[in-house]
Amino acid sequence: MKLSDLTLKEASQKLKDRKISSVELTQEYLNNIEKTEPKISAFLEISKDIAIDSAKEADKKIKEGGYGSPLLGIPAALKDNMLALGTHATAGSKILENYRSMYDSTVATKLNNSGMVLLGKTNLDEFAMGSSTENSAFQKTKNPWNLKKVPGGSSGGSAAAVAAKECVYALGSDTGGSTRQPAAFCGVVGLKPTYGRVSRYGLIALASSLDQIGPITRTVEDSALVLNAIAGQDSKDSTTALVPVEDYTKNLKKDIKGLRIGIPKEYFVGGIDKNVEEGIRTAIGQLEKMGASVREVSLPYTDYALAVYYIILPAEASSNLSRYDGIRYGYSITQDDKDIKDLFSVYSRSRAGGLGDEVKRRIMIGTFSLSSGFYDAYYRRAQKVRELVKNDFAEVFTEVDILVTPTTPTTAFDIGEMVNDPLTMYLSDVFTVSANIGGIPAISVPCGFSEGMPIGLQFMAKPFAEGQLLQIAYQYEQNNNWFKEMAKI
Amino acid sequence: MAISKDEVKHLAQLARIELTKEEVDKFQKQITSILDYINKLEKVTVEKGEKIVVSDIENILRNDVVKKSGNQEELIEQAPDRKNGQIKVKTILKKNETI
Repeated sequence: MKLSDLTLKEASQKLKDRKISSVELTQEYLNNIEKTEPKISAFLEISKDIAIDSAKEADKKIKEGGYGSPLLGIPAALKDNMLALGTHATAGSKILENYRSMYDSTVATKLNNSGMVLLGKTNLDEFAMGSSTENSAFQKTKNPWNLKKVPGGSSGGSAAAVAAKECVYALGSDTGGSTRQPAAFCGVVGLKPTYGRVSRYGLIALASSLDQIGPITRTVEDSALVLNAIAGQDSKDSTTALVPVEDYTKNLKKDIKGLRIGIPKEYFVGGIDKNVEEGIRTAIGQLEKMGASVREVSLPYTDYALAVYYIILPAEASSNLSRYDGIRYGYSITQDDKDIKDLFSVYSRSRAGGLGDEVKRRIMIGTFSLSSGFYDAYYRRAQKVRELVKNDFAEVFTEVDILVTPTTPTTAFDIGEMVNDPLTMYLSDVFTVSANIGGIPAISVPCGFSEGMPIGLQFMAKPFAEGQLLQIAYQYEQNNNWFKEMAKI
Repeated sequence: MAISKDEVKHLAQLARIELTKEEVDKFQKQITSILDYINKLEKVTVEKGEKIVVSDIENILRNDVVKKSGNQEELIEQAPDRKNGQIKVKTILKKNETI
């Protein structure tokens, strides 16, 4: 067995017992990266020096009896929209191509304090706008299960890196499904915590009422271990909740007898691939055999959640992205055109040259829905319907503990298949956006294959019920062997 | 709902994004199809009143204490155009113009 076959939990046990060293482990991952990257293109930057230094430090700490965290000495990757000192932070955009992280994001600080070995920064759709990672200004990441397929997005680099054993775990950010959808496409575990559970300080903002950072891992237990390290209130992000952080591994091994599961009927109407639906139905049958009670429930506003999302997200993004103006940092047209005279042209031509199509599209849609004359009909209406979607969840969670759905309607699609059809691409988020709209936690775990491509099973829970969410996900996972299947590259 | 080419140009102007003629054509079609989709919200009956609250948290307060944040020199160094430790921008007032 190779060191990179170990899960986070297994590797950390071996480090703790001093059966392996972090330098050995890190070197194997750096070798994997060297070998696999030409095919997968998951990384935008590889921070080899930082990795080796942290690995040495971890080994020293362990030797001196300072073992303090299961993440100590474990090689990881961060999505390139998170700031980490010593690395760039491009957000996959040409406008930030040369931008250097000016400080550590709170997640980077917390992971550093836990002893992270940072291998590098992973590819993403530009400013996390997309579902395939094809919108990156720099490169197209391939799905480790089939190099002709997309890895999903926007955290496609993080999911592909975990699936291809280029890191033990990675962080992604999830605004409408961006950790869960790529995790489903790449056959790994993707968690979106409750809105406010993890600090976004130092995360390049997309849509501030939806964005949340979450782990992408090989197993559910690994996900719980990473969440333990990154969750919590942060004075630098006022949206973080005061709710105490529990030990998310605590309940994993409890059986699910008596747990009430709801199957929202609106998630099973048309558009789902037959094999995906069959995989989900089989999983539901298993959960019932494991002792959970299963009933059909209704979330009547589900059909509107995606439309709400594609109003609120562009609106908030158009505001958040106004900071990229060619003045304070990032790409500026003044570098290429010395004759430019007026300030307006600096703004509009820097943005024209520095931003990609999807970003321009969403900024304009957001500008439209916030503009006078359309604000009431679009933005305000969307916010009201958002309340209705949230109420749906609040009501259904009085009857059941957990919701079970597919993560995506299909498995990974072909590279290039949807590039010119933004709306069809948007529809691949149809099952994931509701959790962001409602601010609730959700997780995707592997539940089988369709024509060689992984299928994702999604669980959703009440706000701050990550413990219960991870428990059922773990119980399902351990009752199967899907997580042991690895992509052969 | 169809959006006209002039409206696309106006939006681009508001958003400070210069578009080529081809881009105007392309975005006009794409934005129209996206607006057609999101217009399905018209079918939802919503109540009057303005509740636009996402989080249940309110009024996060802190003491008003000065803290050092970031290295000014390093921050300014990332600006594309600089002079004497300051960020340089193009003239915004015309000659002989006053505020």
